[in-house]
Amino acid sequence: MRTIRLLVAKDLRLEWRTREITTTVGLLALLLVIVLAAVRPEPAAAASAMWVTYAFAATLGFARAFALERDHLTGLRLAGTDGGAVFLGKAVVNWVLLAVVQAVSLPAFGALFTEAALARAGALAAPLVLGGVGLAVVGTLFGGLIVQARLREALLPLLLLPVALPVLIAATSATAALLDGASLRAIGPQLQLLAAFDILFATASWLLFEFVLEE
Amino acid sequence: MNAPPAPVVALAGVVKAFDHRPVLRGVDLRVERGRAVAILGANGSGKTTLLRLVAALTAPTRGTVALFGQPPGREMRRRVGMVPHESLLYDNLTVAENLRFFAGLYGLPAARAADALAQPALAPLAGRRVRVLSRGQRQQVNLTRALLHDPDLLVLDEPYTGLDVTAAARLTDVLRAERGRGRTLLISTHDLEEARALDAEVGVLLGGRLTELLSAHALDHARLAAWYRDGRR
Repeated sequence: MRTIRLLVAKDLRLEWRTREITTTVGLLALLLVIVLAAVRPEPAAAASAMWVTYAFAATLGFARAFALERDHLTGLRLAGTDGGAVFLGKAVVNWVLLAVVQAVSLPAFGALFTEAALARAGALAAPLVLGGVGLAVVGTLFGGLIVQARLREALLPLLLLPVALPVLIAATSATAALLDGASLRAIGPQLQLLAAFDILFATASWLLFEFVLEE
Repeated sequence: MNAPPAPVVALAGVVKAFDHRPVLRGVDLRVERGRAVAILGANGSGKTTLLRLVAALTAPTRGTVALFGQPPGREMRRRVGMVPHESLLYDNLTVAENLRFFAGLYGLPAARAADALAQPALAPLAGRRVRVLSRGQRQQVNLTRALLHDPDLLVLDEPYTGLDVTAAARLTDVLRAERGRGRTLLISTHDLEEARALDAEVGVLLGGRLTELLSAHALDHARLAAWYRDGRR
């Protein structure tokens, strides 16, 4: 736990100082919201627009997060840092950054697509958090796998999006239902699927990350 | 009767290939406790690869690597302090934050980083971000980072690169002092003078093989240049 805390604190401090990822990804997210709203500014399209935006933001942000760490992985390995701890630390930071993007873009969805995006923000937190964790977990695993690759920014979406498809479908479906006035109970199956995906991939990645870090 | 202590580093018949192209073609190396050994070689001769093998950062294609008589692994790595060619420090953290972070990774108390920062040469740098430091100051912090956990073996990959005369002399003083404390040093360089300054034994990487170790003072520049040119002794 101590190592995870150290890694998270270090990454958040670095991001707070440079705002390198949040600025880039935040601007991309806002741009996507505006472009998607210009095409189809209807409540029915809001959920799809949200998750398309988050998926793009995630692929860009996660690739950048690992690129920034690439030259420092040797230091983590020399210290004998447990691969699982590195995975959890990175996944937490990736999720926090995605959550910031979600929080910042929600008012834009409310203004441009449907007021329900803000009125039901409390209920929306469930699919946003569970879907965000799913994207962060898969993105961290693949981000670590391709960190040494030359075309990592291009490779990450190719790996991340197909695997994260169940997350995107379940999260979009749950978000759409909530925006349409459904109760949290009604979207129980989607939330269960998201939770199961998160737990399964987080556990597998935590176990596998030791091998991901080694050459 | 007590068995003699295992060598700090023991490489036997080590081959390392990348994409089926061997960089090291059967390296034998034995470094005893408290010794200073410099690996000399031209650019691309495999010096960095050899050091990464010793630090257990990469595995040999063939042959065996032993650290302190044990196969290399995560626990063995913690007995090694390494200053690689690239800086491992985070540019946008201060020197103090960097050292506290690495001390934490090694499970050391924060006081250990504070002690390191109390050194007269480091104290004025504590609150400065690494990105604004000169190459010499950066190297000084890198070396402090590598020594935080009091490693038995210190591995340095071309540590003199980019240093001015003053910084290089300061580095030599620190390394000589560390050797005086009984720490084993393994350093890569292409400059014989740096090895001489440390009174090191030298091994020269030629055509993927390492020569026998000999005193740096027993080797002269002309002979070394001829070895580099011919790719063999």
